[in-house]
Amino acid sequence: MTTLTWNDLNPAGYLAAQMQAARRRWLAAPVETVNRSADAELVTRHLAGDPGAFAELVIRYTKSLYNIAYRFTNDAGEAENLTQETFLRAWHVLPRLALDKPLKPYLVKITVNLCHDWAERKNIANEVPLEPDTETDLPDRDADPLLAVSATELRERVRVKLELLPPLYRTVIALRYTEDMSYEEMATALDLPLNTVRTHLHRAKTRLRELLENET
Amino acid sequence: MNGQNKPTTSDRIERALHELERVEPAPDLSRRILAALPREAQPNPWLGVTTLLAALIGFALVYQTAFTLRANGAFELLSYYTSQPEIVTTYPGEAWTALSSVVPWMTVTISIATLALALFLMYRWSGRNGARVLG
Repeated sequence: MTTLTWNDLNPAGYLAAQMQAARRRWLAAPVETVNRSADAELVTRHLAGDPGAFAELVIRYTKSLYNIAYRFTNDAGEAENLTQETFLRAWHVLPRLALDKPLKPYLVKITVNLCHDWAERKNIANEVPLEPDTETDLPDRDADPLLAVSATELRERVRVKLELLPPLYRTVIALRYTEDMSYEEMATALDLPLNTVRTHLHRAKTRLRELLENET
Repeated sequence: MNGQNKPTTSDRIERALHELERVEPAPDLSRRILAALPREAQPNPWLGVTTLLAALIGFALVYQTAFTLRANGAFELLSYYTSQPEIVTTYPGEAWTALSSVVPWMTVTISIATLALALFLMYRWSGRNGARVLG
């Protein structure tokens, strides 16, 4: 039986693991199977009365869920509250979960739903325009001023401009790039059709690029 | 990438997104979350003992009640009523008065309540120790 420890959650190692996982995704490697088995084991142990099992789940997913909540709210305090609420709800519904399905998308779904409720309470618009999707990329120009920006500076600008996107666009980017979720998992977490998820992500990146180009 | 193998703007933004780091929470957030979980999140070692005691007391009270009913003649009275039901239908008030005088109602009530408590505690105890999976 594998016991999760803090050493397994080294943040620096996790970032490197994210990049590795992104490359593996393109290679269609079945990485998710390992994590799914570990989650199922923890849930089973929790339901059997193991007091440490849910604690391991909390340790495992706190950073992910906080990151998603922060990307949506842009507020550290609200993100903490929403993350805590997510685990409180998860603790109550775990007995009804199907252990053969991944746990992370379900937890993310709870977080996203709580974020939407938060936005409604705060009267924050989190809908995005429903204009027809053209699915065309902005043309890459030879004289594109962004080409002159260093990678480090571009990364910083992306981080800053990301906060100017609508909450939903920030969320899909976080799910895809920092949480390394597949489109199917994102569709489950956001409760949206697969093509809608792809469209939102495409529009998010288009809008992000527009913000970056308008700055230069 | 373009024909000259130079990364395009789209490629560079894509790479920047892949290098986007998570927003780190406060170091003690996990601890605070765990502290805020319901007390039932931690298994109660006394739940099993309490359940067993309630069951034992309940069965003991049931035995005591049955012994008292037998000593008071309640079983003979009930047997008499069932063998000659016309007594009950003709003199219902008197039949009920006779029966209620031989039943230790307080003991019966406490026995039923204790057994109900034991059953409830057993349900709680089995719920915390059994894996339930609903699709």
